Amino acid sequence: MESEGTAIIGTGIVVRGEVSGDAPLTIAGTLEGELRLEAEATVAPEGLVKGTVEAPVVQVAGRLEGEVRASEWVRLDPGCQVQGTLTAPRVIIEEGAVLNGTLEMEVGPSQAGGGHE
Amino acid sequence: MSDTVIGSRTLVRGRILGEDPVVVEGRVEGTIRPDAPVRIEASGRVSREVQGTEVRVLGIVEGTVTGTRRVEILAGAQMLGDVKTPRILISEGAVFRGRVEMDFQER
Repeated sequence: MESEGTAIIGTGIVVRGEVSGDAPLTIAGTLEGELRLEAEATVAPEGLVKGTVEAPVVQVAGRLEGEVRASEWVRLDPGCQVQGTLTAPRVIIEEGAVLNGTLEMEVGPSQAGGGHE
Repeated sequence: MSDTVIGSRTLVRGRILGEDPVVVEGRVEGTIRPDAPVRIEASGRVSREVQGTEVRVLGIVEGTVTGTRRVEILAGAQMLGDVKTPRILISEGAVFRGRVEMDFQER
């Protein structure tokens, strides 16, 4: 079911505006605007996002300028460049990730609700 | 990396631009204008504007479709609006309500 409904913004493509949905999205191109997903959002190494990202899980390996709000977790992979504000109950920053900005690690209801540590 | 796919559970409001192919399985409200082929799958729905080198419609389009090389409105498609292209194909089983302009200059 991995590919069911999965969306990709490919390397040669720029999307300006609002993107929403409940299936995972990978951004390998450029997104300028707002992304609101009820599924995992991934910024691939070659991807660029300028704007706001709201999703349960956000993984960044590329560049992101703006604001990220994740209800579960955010992960910054090695080689990523992030400028802005990250808000999530859990934030993972790998060695080699570059972050200039603000971290807001909130203890939200999703964490009280359990899951693994 | 893979081509752009707007998945069946994804909505884009705005503009999709670039130089690589775009496949729409979900919904786009706005403009799709890559300098490359565009394919609107049976589950896809686009309102406003689509422009590509070759545009294939199997889903629903309400608006304007421009194909700088060709446009295909295939079986099961619903095309409500105008088409501009030097070459057009409309399959049996396609619904088309709108105008066709074929004196479009290929670039």
